[in-house]
Amino acid sequence: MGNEFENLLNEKKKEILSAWEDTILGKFEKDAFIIFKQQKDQFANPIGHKVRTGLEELFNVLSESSNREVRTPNLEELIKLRAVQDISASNAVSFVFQLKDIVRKELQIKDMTNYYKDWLAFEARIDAAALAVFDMYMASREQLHKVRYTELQAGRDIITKGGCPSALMRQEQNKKA
Amino acid sequence: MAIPKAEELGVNVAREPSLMTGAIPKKEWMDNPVEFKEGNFCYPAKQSIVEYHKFPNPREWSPTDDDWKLPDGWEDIILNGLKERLDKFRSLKVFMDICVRCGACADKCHFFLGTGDPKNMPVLRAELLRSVYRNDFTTAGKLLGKLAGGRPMTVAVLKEWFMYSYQCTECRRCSVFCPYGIDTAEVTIILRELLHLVGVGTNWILEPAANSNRTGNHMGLQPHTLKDNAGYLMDDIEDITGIRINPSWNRKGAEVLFITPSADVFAEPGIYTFMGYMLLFEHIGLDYTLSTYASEGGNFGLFTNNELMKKLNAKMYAEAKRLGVKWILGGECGHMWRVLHQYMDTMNGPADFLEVPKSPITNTVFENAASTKMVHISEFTADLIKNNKLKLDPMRNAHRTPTWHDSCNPARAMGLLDEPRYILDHVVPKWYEMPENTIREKTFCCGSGTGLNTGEIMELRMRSGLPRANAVKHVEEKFGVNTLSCVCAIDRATLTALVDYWTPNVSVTGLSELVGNALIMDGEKERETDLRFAPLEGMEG
Repeated sequence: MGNEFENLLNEKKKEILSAWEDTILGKFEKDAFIIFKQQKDQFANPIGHKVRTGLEELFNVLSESSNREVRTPNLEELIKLRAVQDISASNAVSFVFQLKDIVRKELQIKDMTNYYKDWLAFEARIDAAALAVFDMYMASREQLHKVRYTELQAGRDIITKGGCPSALMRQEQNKKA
Repeated sequence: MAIPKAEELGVNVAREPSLMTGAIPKKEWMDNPVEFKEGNFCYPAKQSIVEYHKFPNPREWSPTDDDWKLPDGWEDIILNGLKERLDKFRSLKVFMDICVRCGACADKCHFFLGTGDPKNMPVLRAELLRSVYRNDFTTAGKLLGKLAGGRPMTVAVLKEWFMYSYQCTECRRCSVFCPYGIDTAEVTIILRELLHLVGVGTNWILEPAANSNRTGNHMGLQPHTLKDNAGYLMDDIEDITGIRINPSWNRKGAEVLFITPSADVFAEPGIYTFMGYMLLFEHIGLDYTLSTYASEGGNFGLFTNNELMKKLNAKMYAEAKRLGVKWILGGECGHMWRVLHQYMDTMNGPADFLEVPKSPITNTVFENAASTKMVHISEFTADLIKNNKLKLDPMRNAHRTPTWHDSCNPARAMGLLDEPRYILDHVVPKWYEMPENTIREKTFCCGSGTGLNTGEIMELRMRSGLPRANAVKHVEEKFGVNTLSCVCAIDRATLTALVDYWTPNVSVTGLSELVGNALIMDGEKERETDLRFAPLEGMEG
């Protein structure tokens, strides 16, 4: 990607990011959307904050021609959030592809044709990032399964086992003896 | 997932419903039915457990079924139950009438902030009940129905109640912001009570409650098991400190009865907190006894109905009377303190056979507990420190950099805010506060209280705990915090899973565990590890 195309992207950064946020936050009902979009205090709005900061980090990686690593701290937080929401895996990572359409609209057709080689390179970066994001999503799911497993191992579910823990313990002690 | 046409590409390659819990978007909330699927509900109570409690309508059923096998005339059972409670609890009547829907509570609930589901806005959760109240109990509602915000009791409404009364942890953060002081937790309490009238309840609550009723504690531990388990923990204390402690059980004539959650004797990380209590009592030579009968601080009756809460709570005073103690000391539990502080005296008091608690070590009289006769371990410990009665070496906690999680019930239901902080000041070299709007009265819930700490809703728990985890993440990054300390057994269990996901380098401790680490015991050997057998700073080799 050339410097001029990068500059165009950065000129429109604010508008692009806002529209990109809306693709994720717009999935919430209107009442929630308004709060998540407008509340700037991250502690009063963790979802909005994670979406905002995660997308900005990814945009910065995509809009520079360097080989910067896709996995960045705030993006990781956003993906962790996507991994525990009640959505499919494809939906959880689909926001990455939506950037293509948002940038197309913001840069308009004239710029698109003038910079079509840059555009192709930019799209290739988005595709590569989507794969990396999918890996991050899977890593978060794996981590969640470990959390579930660890909790199960801690034995708290004994309170709903319907058995007598004293008897279980006696059995174990007999086994050891 | 179908491949989209070229002209659709701009929209989204993946089409999904909204993030309203299992619901279809863009309709008025009343017309938006809930949809139960694996992962968004707690498993229903087993038939045998419902029978044990002698609750109505025991049966095998699943929330995913269309037919919940409700009893004949269930609508009348619910409405009569509501009428009875409106007459009985003035607070409910007031809460039904006075909300002006100002919206101050709307964005304060951790369930709403973590799920984005508008029905988790406290105002709307209450509206689930209020709409039925309006329809059948107000003149406007009777005449105008939906126009006046009313709606009849239907199966869809009942299912909605089940969904959202089990997406509230009764943490009462919303109440802090309500200009009218509406306690939405009490709305949830009533919703759950009404659901039990027709046999709709969850196993994670009713089975521990049954255990507690049978053996005295949630785990179902019998006396010898409790004693044996505590014994193993005393073995560990001996290995670590060289001191042998022999806890006192069921001893008549002791000055103080100590009651704590049974998880403290059985499950990590609560067991380290239990070791802390025992070291503390040994250190000051307290004349105390534990009880194998009143062996549970927790009271899942609070999450069920007022009758069960009263019944399970009664054993505390009954055991105090039987043993002839002067007063009761309570351990690190969350909702035990809400039951104690707000309901116990009314339900099972007055405990006039007990004395106003007075510390035998400092002679401090706990006037705040003059009525209930029960003192929190943090109040007791803070008073000991204030009067220079404890020998402490905070450097033994130098490997920990804690932050303080105000557990909802001790913080908001009994005002325990400064004592734990005072203790932390003296038992760790340094600790850090989370941001102002996430602590003290405004503390965020662990996300899994009131019997929601069950594995089948793990993703939901990770969402509802997000506001808390987000603040922990902040202090981890800013100050290098590696420990989340608190005074609640459910917190210790659920925050462990929460931080494992959101901030894996942070671990959870009880406060008394940190006290136990710091206590310099008479005749102890040089300590090389903390109570978890982790090497102390400078002892890593």
